[in-house]
Amino acid sequence: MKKLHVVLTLFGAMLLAAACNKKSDFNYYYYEPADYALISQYLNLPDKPDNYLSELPKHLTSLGLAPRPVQQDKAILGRVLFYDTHLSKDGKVSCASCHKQELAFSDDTPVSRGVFDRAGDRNSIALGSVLSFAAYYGTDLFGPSGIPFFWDNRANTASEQNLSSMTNPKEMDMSHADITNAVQAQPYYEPLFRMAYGDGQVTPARVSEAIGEFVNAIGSYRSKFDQEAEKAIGYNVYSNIELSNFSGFSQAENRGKKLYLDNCASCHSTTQGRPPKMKANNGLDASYPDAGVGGITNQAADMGMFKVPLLRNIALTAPYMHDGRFATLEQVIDHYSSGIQFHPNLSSELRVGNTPLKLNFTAQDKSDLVAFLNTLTDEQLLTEKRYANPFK
Amino acid sequence: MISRAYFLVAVSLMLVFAACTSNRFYTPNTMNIPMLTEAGQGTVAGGLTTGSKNTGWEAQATYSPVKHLGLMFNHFDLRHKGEAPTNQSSFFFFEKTPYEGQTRLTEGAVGGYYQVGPQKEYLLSLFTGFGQGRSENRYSAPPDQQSSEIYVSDWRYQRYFIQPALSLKYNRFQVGTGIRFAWVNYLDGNISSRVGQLETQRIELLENSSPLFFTEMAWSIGWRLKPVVISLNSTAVVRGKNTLRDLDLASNYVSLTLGLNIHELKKKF
Repeated sequence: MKKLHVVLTLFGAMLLAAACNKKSDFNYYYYEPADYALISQYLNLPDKPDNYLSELPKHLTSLGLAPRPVQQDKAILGRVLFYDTHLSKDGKVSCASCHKQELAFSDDTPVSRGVFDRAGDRNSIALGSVLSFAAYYGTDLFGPSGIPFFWDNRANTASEQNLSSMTNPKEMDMSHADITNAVQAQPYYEPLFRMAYGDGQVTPARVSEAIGEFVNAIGSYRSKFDQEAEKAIGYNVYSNIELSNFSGFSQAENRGKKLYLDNCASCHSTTQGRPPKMKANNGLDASYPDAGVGGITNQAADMGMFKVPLLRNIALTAPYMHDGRFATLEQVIDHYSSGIQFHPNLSSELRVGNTPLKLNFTAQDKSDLVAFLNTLTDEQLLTEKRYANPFK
Repeated sequence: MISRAYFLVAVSLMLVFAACTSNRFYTPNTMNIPMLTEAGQGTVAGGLTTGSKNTGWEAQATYSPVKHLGLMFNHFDLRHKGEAPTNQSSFFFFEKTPYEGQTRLTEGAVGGYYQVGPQKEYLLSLFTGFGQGRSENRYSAPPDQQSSEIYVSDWRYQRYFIQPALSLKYNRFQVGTGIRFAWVNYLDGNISSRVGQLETQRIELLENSSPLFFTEMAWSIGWRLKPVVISLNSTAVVRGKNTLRDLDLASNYVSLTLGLNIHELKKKF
């Protein structure tokens, strides 16, 4: 009997000791080894893929705003296509040539240069907040309030936008056949298309869809403003942002916030979620050589109207306006302070009858406004690997 | 007559509690509750489970070489299928992917048994054992891909256990209940992270939480047709800890076993 107890005790002790000593060692792989070896000759893609689904801050999600679903493999493929100069006539221009990550996916010239150094028509729009553009409220996934692309709002989706840029003679100047041939010629695309679409077939529609998937996932939501606004959420997000000083803001930033909310937010958004207005005329000129939205719709009411951008990362996206006419934020503020010109379609917020408003900012106001606008920069976006150039 | 009624009630109850839970990471085998009372006694049993999502078989044996000392052997093989939430594609949307899996476990144990009670009608036993198994899950490609590709995750695992049990044996009827304290140690595996972000995160949780320690509870009710015993068994993981709930470990396993008491067979012939 004694022996039995000893045997059982020893056996139990041995099992416990063994159970505590072993360490798990799982090997994770995303690509088949042969595929990854091929891809790795050209690209720095991690074997454990990046997650392209972003979590918006609470002050946005509490309003019901949610990012669009992301198809992981298509976003990975889209990232490669976005940075690939093979998708241009002269082999030197990619989407990223005019949408630079370090500038919140904008460009630093009034109009960007396309293939063969051809000048574009308008200033490159920052893509750093497309996640917010593409976000939706509730079930309005593909509903009428999706935010269009381009300064003249002529593209309804990011896919339409990038296909239009690829085929624009001033930008990448590719035909649909050129796009297909250029992509098929690169060996790293076969496995990436297979993983994204189940087969390696290349079509311009798939190329633009994949780039759109990547662009829709580019998000800017970790700025100082976001951190502070998240702290301020309560029963009414708008009131809390409007009424309270942010504890993490300087006095100048809080004064700038108040000036922004009083004078700018009705067009550019209180929460930095989605812009409340799709298009507006902001009194840049009395007559416009570039008709903007009106050039697409041919409606008198749209003449001189342009897309209203979110102001996320605005400190990085100079020069400003659709034609890049203002080099600094101070110049932009000067325009709204004393430079607004009358136009029949001038936004109602910027006029009293037929008289354009003069916001008459003081030097202190201007300085405070700039201080606030600087809080809208998301530093992480500028170096985030999942958005970076994957080419070796 | 009474024992048959109890048996039918028990069948109904167990089927009700055999809820749909995940078998991808761990499934408890039927707890082998020994009914040994004398040296030289032995039982072999074969078990089956079947349902819309599970099909499994197991082989179990107990033998007493000397009084109060018992040996145990279990083998378990389960094929299962279902849908795994593999991706959280947005705040509102989950993507589910069909999968098919197989898990196997072979183990041995040693322990002691004692008869207690005024008429020695109760049987107490305590066994401790060790086993090794393998799990493989084969996931289809995400629904939007329309691809026939299969993504595989597989790993080996070990299980150590200590199992106290109590049983009662009547002429036509036997019941048993037991607790199994299990340590499940996941060893090495190959994981295609294309199974989806959510599923990959779960597998990482499995790996990082290893060895998992948890308690299983079981009961068994058997109809004795000497030398044969037909038993209905239920073994359930007690999912008290958050990790176990996050992993959605299979909470209940129900099987029907056909046992043969070797010593009764000898007496009969």
